[in-house]
Amino acid sequence: MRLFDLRREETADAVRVAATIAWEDSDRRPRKIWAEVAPALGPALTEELDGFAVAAAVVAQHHGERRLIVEGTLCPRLAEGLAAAARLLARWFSAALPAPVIESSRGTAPRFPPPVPRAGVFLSGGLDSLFAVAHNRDRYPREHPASLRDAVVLEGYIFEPTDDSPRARDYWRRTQKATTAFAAAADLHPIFVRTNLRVLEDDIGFFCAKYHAAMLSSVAHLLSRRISSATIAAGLDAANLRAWGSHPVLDPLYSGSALAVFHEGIETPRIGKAGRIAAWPEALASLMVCTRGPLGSGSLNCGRCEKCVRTLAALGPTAARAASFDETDLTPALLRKLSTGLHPWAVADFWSEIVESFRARGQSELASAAEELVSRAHVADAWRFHRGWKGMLRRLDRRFLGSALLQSSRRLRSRRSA
Amino acid sequence: MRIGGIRTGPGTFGTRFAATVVWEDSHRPPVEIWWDLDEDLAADAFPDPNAFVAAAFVPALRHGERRIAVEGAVCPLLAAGLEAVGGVIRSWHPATGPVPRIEPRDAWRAATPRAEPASAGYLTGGIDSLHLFYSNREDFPAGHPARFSHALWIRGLDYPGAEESPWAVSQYARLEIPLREIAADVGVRLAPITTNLRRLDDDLAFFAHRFLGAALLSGAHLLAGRFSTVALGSSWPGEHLVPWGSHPLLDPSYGSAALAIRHEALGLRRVEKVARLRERTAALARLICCGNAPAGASINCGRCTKCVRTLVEMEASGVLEHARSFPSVRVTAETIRGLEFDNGTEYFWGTLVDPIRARGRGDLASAIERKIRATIHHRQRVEGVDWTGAIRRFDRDVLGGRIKKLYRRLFA
Repeated sequence: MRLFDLRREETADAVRVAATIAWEDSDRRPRKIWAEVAPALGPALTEELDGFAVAAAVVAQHHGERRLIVEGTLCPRLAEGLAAAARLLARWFSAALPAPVIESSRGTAPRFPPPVPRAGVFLSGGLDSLFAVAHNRDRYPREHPASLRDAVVLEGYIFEPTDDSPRARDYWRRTQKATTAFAAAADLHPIFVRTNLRVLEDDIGFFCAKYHAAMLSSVAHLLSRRISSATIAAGLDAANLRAWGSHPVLDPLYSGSALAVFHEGIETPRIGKAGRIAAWPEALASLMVCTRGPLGSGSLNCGRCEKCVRTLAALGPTAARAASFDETDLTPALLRKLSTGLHPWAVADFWSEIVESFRARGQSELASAAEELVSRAHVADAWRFHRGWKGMLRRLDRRFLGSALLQSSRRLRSRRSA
Repeated sequence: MRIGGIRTGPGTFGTRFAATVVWEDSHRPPVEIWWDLDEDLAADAFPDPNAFVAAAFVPALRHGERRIAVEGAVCPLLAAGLEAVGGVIRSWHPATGPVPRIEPRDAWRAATPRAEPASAGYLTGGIDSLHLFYSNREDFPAGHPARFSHALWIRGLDYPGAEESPWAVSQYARLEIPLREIAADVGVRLAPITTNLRRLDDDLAFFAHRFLGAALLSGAHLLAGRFSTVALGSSWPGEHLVPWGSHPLLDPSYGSAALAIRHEALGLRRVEKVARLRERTAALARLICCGNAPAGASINCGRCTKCVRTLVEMEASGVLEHARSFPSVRVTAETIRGLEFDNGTEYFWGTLVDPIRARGRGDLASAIERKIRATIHHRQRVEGVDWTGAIRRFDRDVLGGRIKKLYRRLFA
């Protein structure tokens, strides 16, 4: 993959940095990738390819590119980190997708951080990022260089920026509302960045497992004339770490010599984060975890999807009623209907904590229903990763019988249901 | 655990920064822990409680201490990092008890970094640290905040209980010569830091598997007025991370709001680091890799597994001619057969098979492959994960050990 032609484009509404990627080994069309901010923030944007290189390296590996060549210079620390990240991802997910070689046509050149350190955080409105800010405010006096000053909010992170569907428009409207209110309450300067980095590969499995911290770090590098560090809030805690697209070993590898990328919050389980947010009314009112929609009610969250229900359960009934959810009542029947989703292990991990807190609150029926959900998630996880004797049978069927058993089973089931 | 009596005074090797550690929940005697800094480092060092907390945390976790009460203020970022360390170690070793609470006597106080950022690295003389220093010099020009000005050399960890003994002092003196020459070649100042931290727990396996990073890095908090970042080279590469005392999940967590800790070069295999040092002949000639260094007339014994592996790495990288800190550089298939691949190090040996074969040493490559197979087979047998293990478990769980008894009767 080649990454080249960095350019700056200015309009009345936005300042954009853009570059082009061209594939060398994969049969895909060249793409223009870009990120833009409001004109007032134009001076924050860098004129180096480092930022785009982070996203490009991960996507290049995913599509089997043998190298990433950056036509320009690359920060030596970032170049080393990208090579390390590629090997780590190869180790985690597939040795069949070897790490691409990271090259730069004009060699490496160290970057210098801004003269005055300035700390930024990625803000989505979710529990993890609100907690990252809360914890930062608890730790540091406002004049400390590590005290967060900028909140970077991405348009194009969950939905493509050009997605004009009602759901996408509603999601962005809610994100702006939640993050603007929270940034004001937390004395943060919001920086809204619009980017199409997600379109390089829109597979959701790839995005979650390998890419999302790389995409965030890309944007952080693009803003490195303004910020010297970027905090990515941890989604998993230290006791439940997994190979995942944002991870305390992976994210710092996307640092350069002008910009440090931090992965923060692994010491605190989700229940602890919810407890901290429950004690901060402004944060609670801005909490937005829900990606469903469009929500017609004006609330930030539907209150019925798995992520909403999980968050309501972690907050507890009093805090849940003070937050912005369409529905806040939890019943065992509701928990039994929840889906274990694309990543059942995450559902199992999160809900295991919640079982204990239901018990501690004397909500034994909800605790039992949550336990059932955890069991279902474990079963779904085992199925997905072909564990147990059934998994072994499926593997044998696929490998030696050309999935004949699977097809027979499906035929029998469809006959029975007919 | 209580940490008190934090003090500064004269020490055997310079100015001593010390505290007394009293155990509360485990039956262990109180212990004084200290670092001795030379005149240059001590000039703007500070007896920072963060250093003592970072040093004592992992031993406190191991021995079931419920809290660490410390005299003074503690940085909340360090405290959060230590909680994360506790979580990680508990996930590696599930029998570990709860994470001790940190209780600062004075307050939580975010440490303030020095106004001008400055960096230092850890130098042992081994491959990882040589690569760290030479790549730092190549990557960052003088004046860049990431450029190292000092090489921190931690002494005393190999001599628990005898850090100040004449024997240890003589060993320090022998090691200091090549390390000073390496530091001069890289253009940094060698800064010896002597410590007795292994008195907190002198178990070697504990030191290697859990405590190594904290033991090396905690003293850097004393120097937060001098350095805003310290870095050490990774022992294991990112493609093969194993639970180990120095690890990218642990080391950065020992930092504070004033001191960042970097665990560097995760992307490179050890043999690749050697290859990158190809032109650094002065460093390769002074390489210190032996666990028993200084050993005999040479710095390295040349016979232990680590020495032999390093020699094979140098052969694989075409730099064996520069290996002057070994009594002999001849490695044969017979040498490999006589070794024990311990601590999961067959991974490192595995990375050598192709490069050493490409250098025309198919005899060594074949010997390494055979040894790796034998090591894995032996481990599977010991851990009971091969077919014999399945029979043993079936015998134990279902037959009440009858096959085992019969076997003993027949063959005892």
